[in-house]
Amino acid sequence: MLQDKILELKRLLMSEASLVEKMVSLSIDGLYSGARNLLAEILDWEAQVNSIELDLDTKCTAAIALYQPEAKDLRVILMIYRINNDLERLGDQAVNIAESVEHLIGNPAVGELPELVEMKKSALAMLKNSLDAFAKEDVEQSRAVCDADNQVDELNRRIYLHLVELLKASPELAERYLHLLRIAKNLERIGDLSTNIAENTIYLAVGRVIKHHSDDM
Amino acid sequence: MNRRKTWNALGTGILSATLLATFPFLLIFLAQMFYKGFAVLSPEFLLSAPREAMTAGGIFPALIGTFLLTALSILIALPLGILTAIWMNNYGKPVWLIRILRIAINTLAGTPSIIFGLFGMAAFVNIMGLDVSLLAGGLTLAILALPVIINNTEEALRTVPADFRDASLALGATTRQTISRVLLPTALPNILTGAIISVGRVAGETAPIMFTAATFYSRRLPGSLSDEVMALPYHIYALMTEGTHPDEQVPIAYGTALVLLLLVLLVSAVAIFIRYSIRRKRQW
Amino acid sequence: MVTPQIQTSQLNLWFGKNHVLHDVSIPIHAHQVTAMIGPSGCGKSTLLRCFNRMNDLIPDTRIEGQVTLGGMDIYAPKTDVTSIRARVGMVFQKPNPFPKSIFNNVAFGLQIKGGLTKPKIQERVEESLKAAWLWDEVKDRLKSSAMALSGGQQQRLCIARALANRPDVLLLDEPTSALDPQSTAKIEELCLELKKSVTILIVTHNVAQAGRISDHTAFMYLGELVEFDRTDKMFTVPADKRTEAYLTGVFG
Repeated sequence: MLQDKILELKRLLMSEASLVEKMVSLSIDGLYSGARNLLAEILDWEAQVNSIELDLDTKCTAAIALYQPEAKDLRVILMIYRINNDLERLGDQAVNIAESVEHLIGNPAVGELPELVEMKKSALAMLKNSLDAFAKEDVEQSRAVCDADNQVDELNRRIYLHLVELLKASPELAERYLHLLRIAKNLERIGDLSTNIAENTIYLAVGRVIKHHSDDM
Repeated sequence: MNRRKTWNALGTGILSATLLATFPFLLIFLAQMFYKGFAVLSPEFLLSAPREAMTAGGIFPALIGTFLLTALSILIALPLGILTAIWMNNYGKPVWLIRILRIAINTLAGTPSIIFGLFGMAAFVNIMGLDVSLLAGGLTLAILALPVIINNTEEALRTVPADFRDASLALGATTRQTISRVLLPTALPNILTGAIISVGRVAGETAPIMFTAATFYSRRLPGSLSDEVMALPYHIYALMTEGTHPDEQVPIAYGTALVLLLLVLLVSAVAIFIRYSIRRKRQW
Repeated sequence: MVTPQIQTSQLNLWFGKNHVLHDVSIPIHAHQVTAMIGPSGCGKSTLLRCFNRMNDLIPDTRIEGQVTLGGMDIYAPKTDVTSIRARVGMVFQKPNPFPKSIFNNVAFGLQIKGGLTKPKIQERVEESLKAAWLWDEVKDRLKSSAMALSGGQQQRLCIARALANRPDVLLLDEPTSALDPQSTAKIEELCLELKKSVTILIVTHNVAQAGRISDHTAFMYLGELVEFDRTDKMFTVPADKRTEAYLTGVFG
């Protein structure tokens, strides 16, 4: 009975995850491909993600209320509940990115920031891997996601410094550079949220909290 | 705590003492019966009629008479008693009527048997004109057995868990179907055990048949319900009180008594065995 | 809105002078599991027994109001109680198979009704035992006593016995309170399977059980129906404070 419910929750979560993944990768790719109507499309998907999020939210609460799950069953439901939350926020990040992308379409400034391509790749890989790892409850893969976060943070720092230089050189392009900064910031958030998902997966699989480096102690 | 222990020990002590006090009497009684009765016991004693003014011969007519009286009375009392108990247990209304009936039945159960004898003589022998006969005796004994059988059957029906009744009714059975298919089959072994015990009681009674069925001496076996019969308990009584040749007749009386005793013991043993095997099999 | 299969309206019940049910109006929908919960003595079992008129057996019972089963008033004067009970099966708190063979237990309802041939009865017994998930465990010893079965098996036998009548409704009165956790789990799963073919009403002391298996839940308190709602709704956001208190274990 409970197992069927959990399976249903997982399935719902994975469908939400695949939507979010698509949103994130499309929004950032728009920067290079120059697709039109990107924002409208992304907003459309966001509405879908939001409705799934609400649905999952009540279903998780009901599952806990009705079945009083224990041990791993409880962890799975709690993690689904949390990841659901993370996914919704990932959707928001995608919208943010798409908004900034609208201002930058066909803009040469993008070419001046090669680090962003690398950061995009890393952040997208983190998201993809964290969701993969959750589906398989793969602890190793999840740990790899957590480790990759440092790299994304480092890229973010480099982009920031690079943009400061660019701004100093041509202050009249400030708006464009700020949009790029915003995109980088959102990519960094995507990395953080992917790390959350990975941490939750590890808790789910082995029952250990590794957030805030508590496993170092 | 200590006081309770003391009381407990005292109580157990008194009970054991009374048992020990009774036990020798039982042993002496049984030994006496066997010692005095065993001498005359033989197949011939069981299978032949009394001869030579009851100074010789056997007890065959009395044995058969007791068998017939007992069988007849149980045949009458058992269906009547079971039906009465079922009615009181399942349909009986109003409550006050049932209460009066119970008092009547319990009074009947405590009535001395000679009163049954007198009643039987008045009602069956004289008023109904049945004369001193197998039928009159059987009816009198049936009335004697009736309260025992009713009480026992009611008790047996009460031990059937209410769950069975509920289950049956909940499946759409009527009250009648519930009684015949669930209540009775479940209670039947207990009802029969009770019936067998009342057989033992009826077989040993003298007073009720004294005026209604028994004859002092008869060479032939009863041919119909209206014939007089000999019976074991009455035979003993007759030999001991009205005998003219005590030297020959007293040993015969003891032999008869031993046969009666063994018969009653046998019947009780059968009842105990049946009850035991039911208890062992019962799982509710 | 689908019309409910069973509907009580303004149902009141007295045992002697004791007013046990107060104005209970509750709709029971077909092919659902409806749970009735509440503290001891709240009237949930009494309410359950109104649906097959088992309360009739208690002397001095008085009932006002209506109980309809598929639109028919089951307390109408001309109603045949035995036919109601054949349509509304019941399973009790304590497993209560008859001291008969497994076969004769299941066949009981059919035998008393009559009109079925022996092969037909055999067929129906097998069908019922299969539906109660007991067939594989007992198919080789149908003639042996039902008393030899385990508690959980006995309870499933009682379910099979009720199913043999092919009822529309199955009433379960705390069916697992005398059983171990494994047998309990089995019966709960069985309920979810059975609701495809029969409407189930279950009285339970075990709130978690109501959560696991029921679609709707009725919360009874002091003879009143305090709240009736979808179980997932009642268990997450109950409408009445008393329901909330009971579910969170404040009383009961």
